[in-house]
Amino acid sequence: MLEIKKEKEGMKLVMYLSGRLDTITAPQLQDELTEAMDGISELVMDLKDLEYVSSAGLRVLLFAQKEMMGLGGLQLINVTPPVMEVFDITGFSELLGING
Amino acid sequence: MLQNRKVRIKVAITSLIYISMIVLSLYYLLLNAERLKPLYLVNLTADFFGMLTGYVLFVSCLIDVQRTGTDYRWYFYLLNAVFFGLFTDSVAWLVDGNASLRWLNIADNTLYYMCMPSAACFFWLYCSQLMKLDEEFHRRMNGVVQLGLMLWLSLILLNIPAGFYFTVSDAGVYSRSAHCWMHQLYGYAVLLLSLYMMYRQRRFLDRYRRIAFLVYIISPVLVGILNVLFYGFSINYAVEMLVLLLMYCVVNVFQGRRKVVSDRDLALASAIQERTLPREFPPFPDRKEFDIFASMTPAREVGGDFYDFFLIDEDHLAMVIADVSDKGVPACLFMMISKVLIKTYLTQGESPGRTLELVNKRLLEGDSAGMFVTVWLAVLELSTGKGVSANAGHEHPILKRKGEDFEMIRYRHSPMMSVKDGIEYKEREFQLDPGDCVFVYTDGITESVNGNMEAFGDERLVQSLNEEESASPRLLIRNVTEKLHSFTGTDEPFDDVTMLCLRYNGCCTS
Repeated sequence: MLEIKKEKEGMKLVMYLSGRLDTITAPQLQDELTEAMDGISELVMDLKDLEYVSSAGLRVLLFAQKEMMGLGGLQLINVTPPVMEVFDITGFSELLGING
Repeated sequence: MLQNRKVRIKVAITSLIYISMIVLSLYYLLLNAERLKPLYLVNLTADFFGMLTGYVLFVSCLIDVQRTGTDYRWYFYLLNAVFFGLFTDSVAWLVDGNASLRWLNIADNTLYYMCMPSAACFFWLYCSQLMKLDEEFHRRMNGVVQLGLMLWLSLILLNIPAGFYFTVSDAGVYSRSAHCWMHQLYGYAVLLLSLYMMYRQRRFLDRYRRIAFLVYIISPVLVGILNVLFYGFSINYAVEMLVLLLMYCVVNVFQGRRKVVSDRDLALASAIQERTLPREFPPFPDRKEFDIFASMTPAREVGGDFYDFFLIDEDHLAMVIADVSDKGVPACLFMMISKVLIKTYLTQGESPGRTLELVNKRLLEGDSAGMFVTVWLAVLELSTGKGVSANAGHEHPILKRKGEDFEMIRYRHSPMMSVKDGIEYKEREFQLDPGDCVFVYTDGITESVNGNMEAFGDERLVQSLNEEESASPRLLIRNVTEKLHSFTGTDEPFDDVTMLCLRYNGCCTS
């Protein structure tokens, strides 16, 4: 129920997430991330087609952010209003410095 | 029980093969019962019951794998080798002396001869797996034993043209050759080797396992003696199957004991966690200013959610609800720390925002293993209904004003705790009037899904509260629980489910 597409341009990795990022699918993203993050200096996640994020999903995003700290950081783009609402409730937007 | 589709297909096919072999041998046994010698009948019956035992063992192991995740790989191989030994043995008695079935007789006896060395090899591998042998020496021995098996099996195949172990005459009569005894050399050598390994590694085996393995090694010798005394008496595989049953029981008893110990630990942990949450209602029977009720149902034995409420002083009530971003034992440990820290700072008189700030700092001092915790907490002044709350990334509280419906209060929250240092948690002031009601919860409610993967959601939650909006906190929580169960179709929660509800009655209502 979560689809992950990856595009790599040199040191920059773009991940397209579509579907639901919840307790069931979060480990899938975690595995993909651990595998893909070696030798990456910039990580972009395109959330245009992401419908839903649960707290387990936030945990993986936090993990990505921590890993990328000091490098180019984690960038979340095209956040949809329902997902943005979750980010707002959880104070996540403040943590990552993203705006809707 | 069997989650994986692939596994299910494999089990179905194996069962089918097993059962048809059993039925086949029984059918021919009954068909030929009249013309068979009494001793052959004894053999065939023993084979039949041996096969039945084998199938029952197979099913038991499967159930065990699902329940405890035990690795039965080599035991399965061993079981199969013995099972085939039984089957080919029973076929051998049935086809013997039938000229038209001469080739079947040869093929069957070849397979039969192959079973013994295979079983010995698998027994060796099973022992080394159980004793967790990983030294260079044993790995090399494993290689030697497996290579030896390959060689031995090819020798048995060579027997078909050469006939040094057995021959089947044109009339279809099986007879042993002079060197027949040699085919057992490999098997006995490996069993001896296993005996030596068991002696060397005896500290890895408890007494019962030692006995079970010893019986397995000795039983072929005893049966061999019987075989010499009474020619044509062949029950060795049936005996081997019985010893496999014994081994299974012994292994299982010990796993059972280990599981009981870990189950008891979890049950104790669960009880300790339950007791740390206030469970007696009404908690303050002499206080008329408010009614409070709360519940926590963990998805596993222990959970990461918690609620708490306590009087800071005569006039101030603290309420807390929190959710650790994980389940099970790790989340439970993290939850206990968070709960104690929050209560400590609040009772020392810190404000809600400042409490979260300090707890966040303390939580970040340790390794949280990537876990974070969302918290809503509020301190209510009972004499006036004035309150202060702070929200670290927790779900929106739901509020009911007297005479109105429940409504979700949406606002932007501060970040969750244990993620980033130096966060300032915003405080919100609120005012409760007599008859007002506050309901807070964790996302285990709103994120519970039904069979169609639809989430329970905010709206259904508010609706279930509004069905009987003036009910007591206890009834309100019961209503939500019932609605949730009928929505998901199960009362076993997928995530921890926690609720806290307070109704403010106002000061000095006598």
